[in-house]
Amino acid sequence: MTGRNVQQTLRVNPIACDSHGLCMELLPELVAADPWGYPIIRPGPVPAELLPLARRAVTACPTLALLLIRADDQADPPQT
Amino acid sequence: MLLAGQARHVIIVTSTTPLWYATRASGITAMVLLSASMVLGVLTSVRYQRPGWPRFLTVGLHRSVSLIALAFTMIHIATALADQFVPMGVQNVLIPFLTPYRTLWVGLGTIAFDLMLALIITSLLRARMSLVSWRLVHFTAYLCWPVAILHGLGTGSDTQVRWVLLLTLACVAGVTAAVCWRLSYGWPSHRAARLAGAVAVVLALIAGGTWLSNGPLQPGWARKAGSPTLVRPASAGSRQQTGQG
Repeated sequence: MTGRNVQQTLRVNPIACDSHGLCMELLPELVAADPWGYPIIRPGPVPAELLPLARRAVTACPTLALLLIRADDQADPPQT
Repeated sequence: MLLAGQARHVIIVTSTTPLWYATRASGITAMVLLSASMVLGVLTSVRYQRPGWPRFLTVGLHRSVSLIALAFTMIHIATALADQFVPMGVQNVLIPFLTPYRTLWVGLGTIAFDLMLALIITSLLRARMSLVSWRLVHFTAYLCWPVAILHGLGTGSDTQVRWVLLLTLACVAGVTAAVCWRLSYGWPSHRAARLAGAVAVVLALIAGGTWLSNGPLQPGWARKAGSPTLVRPASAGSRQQTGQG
């Protein structure tokens, strides 16, 4: 995070998430399913080569529960 | 819509220009695509998924088919505007019930197009608006599609053509089946809303079927629907005069 280019990271809004599962279909590299079908995001910034797929997963989410945010905005504790 | 005094006239002019055929063909194509889009949208909401059919395929197809349906609807409108068999101006594209030709039935098409625009614009901007308002707008798809079907049956020059009628009925059957699936599967906590939806589907089918067999499928519907007797002088040579419009 010392680089000048802004890194982005994926977050799930657990209240909005309805476990439609599109994110794990579109981005299995970063999103895995928990036993109930809800997404678990691999921590850390999204690799540059996966950013287009991450954006696609964000717009495809039926409940808009997947967010792509700047990595340095992540001041609050990691998601459960 | 009955325009008083028209029943006296006998001659009804129908256009046979390529543009008018394009209007009719693109209208039928848009109907099929809209129905496919409805089915895909419902499949999204019931989370249809098979080993060879991931969910993003349903969502992606729903989006693409909707956009293609919009394109065909625009061809439908543009060719109708260009042909001028149905005399209309640019304002009629968005404001319903202003055309003298089959005022009610063409107007329903205008309403369906307005709703379709609202559906597609809000979906393209979905990430920038609240999910609740997007969903509220998106529920009007259940209004847009039947209104579009009524428009097709009511004003369609080809309603009485057997394969067009069968195609329309197939579209209605497909969407009805999908909606019934959603009503039986989705929203387990909204029992009353699902029951109301089921009742609405049954009533709409009964009303629609009764209207169809007593209206558009009866001889003389063109006149009853509001085809003006002489839309424009039949001097172009490429017009034929029939009872069908």
